[in-house]
Amino acid sequence: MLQFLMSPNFWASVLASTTPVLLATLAANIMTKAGLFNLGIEGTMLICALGGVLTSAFTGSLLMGALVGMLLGIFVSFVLGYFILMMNAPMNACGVAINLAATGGTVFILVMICGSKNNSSSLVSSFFPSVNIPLLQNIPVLGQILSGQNFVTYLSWIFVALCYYMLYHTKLGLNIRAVGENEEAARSAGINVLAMKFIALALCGVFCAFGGMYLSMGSMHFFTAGMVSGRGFLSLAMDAIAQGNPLIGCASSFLYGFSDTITVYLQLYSQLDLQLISAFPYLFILVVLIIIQFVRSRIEKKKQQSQI
Amino acid sequence: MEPILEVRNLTKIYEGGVLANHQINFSVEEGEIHALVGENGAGKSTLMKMLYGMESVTSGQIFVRGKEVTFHSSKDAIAEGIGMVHQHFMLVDSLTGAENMMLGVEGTCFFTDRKGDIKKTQEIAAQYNFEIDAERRVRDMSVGMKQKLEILKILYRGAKILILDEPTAVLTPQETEELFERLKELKEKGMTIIFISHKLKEVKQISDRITILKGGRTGGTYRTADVTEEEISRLMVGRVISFDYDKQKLKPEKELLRVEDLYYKDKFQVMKLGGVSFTLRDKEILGVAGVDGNGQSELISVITAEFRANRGKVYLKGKDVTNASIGEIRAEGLSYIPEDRMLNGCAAPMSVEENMIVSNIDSFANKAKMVNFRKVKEHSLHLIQEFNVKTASEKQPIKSLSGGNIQKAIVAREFSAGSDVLILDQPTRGVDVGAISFIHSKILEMRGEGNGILLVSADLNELISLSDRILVMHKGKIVACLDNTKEKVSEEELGLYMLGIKTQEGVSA
Ligand SMILES: Nc1ncnc2c1ncn2[C@@H]1O[C@H](COP(=O)(O)OP(=O)(O)OP(=O)(O)O)[C@@H](O)[C@H]1O
Ligand SMILES: [Mg+2]
Repeated sequence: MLQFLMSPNFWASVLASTTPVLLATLAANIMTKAGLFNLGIEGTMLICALGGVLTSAFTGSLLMGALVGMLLGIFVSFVLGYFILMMNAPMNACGVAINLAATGGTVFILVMICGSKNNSSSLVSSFFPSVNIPLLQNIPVLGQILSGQNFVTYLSWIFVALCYYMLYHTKLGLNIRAVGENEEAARSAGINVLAMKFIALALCGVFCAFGGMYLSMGSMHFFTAGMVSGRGFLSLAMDAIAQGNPLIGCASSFLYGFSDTITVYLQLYSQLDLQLISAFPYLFILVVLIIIQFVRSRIEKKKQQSQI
Repeated sequence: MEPILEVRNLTKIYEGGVLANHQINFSVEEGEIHALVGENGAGKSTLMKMLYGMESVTSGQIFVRGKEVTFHSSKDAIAEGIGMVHQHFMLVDSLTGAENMMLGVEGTCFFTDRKGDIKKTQEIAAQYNFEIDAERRVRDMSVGMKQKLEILKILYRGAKILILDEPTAVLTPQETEELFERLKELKEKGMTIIFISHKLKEVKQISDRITILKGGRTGGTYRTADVTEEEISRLMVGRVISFDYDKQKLKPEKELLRVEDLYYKDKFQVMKLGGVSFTLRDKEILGVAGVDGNGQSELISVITAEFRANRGKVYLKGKDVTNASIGEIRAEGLSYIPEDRMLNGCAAPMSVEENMIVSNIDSFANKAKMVNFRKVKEHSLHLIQEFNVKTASEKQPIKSLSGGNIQKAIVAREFSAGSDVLILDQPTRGVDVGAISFIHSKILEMRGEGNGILLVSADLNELISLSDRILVMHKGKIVACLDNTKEKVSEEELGLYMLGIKTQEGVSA
């Protein structure tokens, strides 16, 4: 029954379904490092998903769509930043407001433009292509898994690497981490705290934008209402595991991708109860978390005991 | 000669209407060490933060080398050659010494240069004769090293005017001596230093001139040579304060806290406690003396359940609490004033009121666990008044209080929790002379009520004037237990034990 675990197709879909969560987690990571908490990631993704589709449909250009989607992401994040950093509004309430506005607003615009409450399939919009990587695609198994993914998937991997490098190896990253950990200390060292937070927000916006556009212009080729379906919230959980570290965030997103895909396959290939299967990803993550915690505490104990 | 730094009619009103500085005039000559003294909440830190661009100026002027300046952020102040070491550490704990050193320094390169930064840090440390470990993370550093790092940080930024806000409050007497040596060297190199302290002895020892602040106003500038400690104290608080207490003679009857054969190794595998045993009884104050780093803070952390002992037992009122949680031992009747008030003494962004009830919130709740906020308010207003905590209202975030007033609020909370064992780690750190004598009288009052008090302090005077017995720790062991009731122990004798020159045979405490 679990033979599909051996098939390259399965692993290729794992990578595909990891992508949007990975990008959202990255957005949450950078927020954590800058000492912010953005509940509005879900909504931001949704807005960008629609914005990208509509722009590309009207201009006929993928590039324009991607660009406008990205700018929308930055814009929404800056709106959040304006309220919480300049007007001292409560962070979580503003995040929720963005989510509510996005859920209602996207449907409203969808109806206005496409005449449908559900999706934008009446429009012809562009989408990000799949990319075959020369050489790699010729390697058996590995090529089937790693090559031929969507452009955004590769982009997300590059983002993870860049983001990690930026945070831990550049002055900008050092400043952002300092601001997130001890704002007063950073201010005292002459760092412009506000600027650092807005830079972090801009990056968060970009990551959200690609996460959203992957859904509407990558894995699917049109926008459907509420298509982010909790991935933005899930990313907050992934980030809680990663504590802002993009590499761990990447690993935990992969975990989600794996359990998400396995659910789909189980529905196809097993006679298990459907309800049970749909609970699987969450149970799986729970078990993995317990194991990680167990191992951690064992290591701690070992250390303590060896001290006597 | 033109003063290097001068302020004219400087006034600061905080949001919420607190008048912290009113029409301050004062000037600092180039190359002097200028002390700034005043009671808790007199406005010393506020004045300094304005000079460093961390707080905005409400009205008035600042002149640096005769030129009027306005600072929008500390960056502007740094550019004018002003550097400040704050009352509470301004370091990022998870970063290394070198990374903290380079934080915010404008560089040409976008990327961090780990090796180069470490090298630069070591170079500057060597240049000024400061010993620090550039590669260690700040959270693993001792307070002494953190303080040195703070000073190096501002020197590296090219500061010529150094503002040090209570740098010695967290230092041991030995570290203070060392710091003073360094400060004198800096003075010889032509630096100007503004130095804040509540310890008048230090002020007398190191400064050239003294400016007194009282209730946000200047109370005059004096040449240090012209005034005595008593005079300074009178100018500050309006009366002379003595630390000679007449203690009632009390006879302990029962045992409250017993520690048996404790061993503890820290994460660097250094043996911090090597078999510590003692008993604390009721109606007594048991002092703990020792050069910093000889296991006192580890001992406290193990007793208060922050660290777990590798071996040994802790009994609280006869009950084994070696592996109990912090909540359990507090419920069992133990109160604790931690050494670092900002780190684990209070929740900085929360209000004074909330901070004052956090450790015994259950006593304000009814059966259904609903908190009675009227009672909370009454209680905190009562404490604010009794302990003379200067705050605009009980709803102020506690971090907006002056350092000494935060300490007083924490002391108030722990003393009113109704526990019968009190662990006090540097209870009078950073509070002014008036408040010190108040806290001391409170400690004696608690003793009179039958409580057992374990007092750790770097201030030998404090230990000698309060304790019934004094334990001396050296290299993780108790090397002496001195009776302080019949005849006062002398500082010299204490010193000999602390340095490990003398040890008692077969100490039993
Ligand atoms: N951010 C703030 N908001 C409101 N009031 C404040 C703030 N910071 C300080 N204050 C108030 O300003 C007054 C002066 O505080 P300041 O910290 O300058 O005192 P200080 O002389 O340094 O005292 P200490 O010796 O205790 O450190 C106090 O009454 C304090 O409560
Ligand atoms: Mg102060």
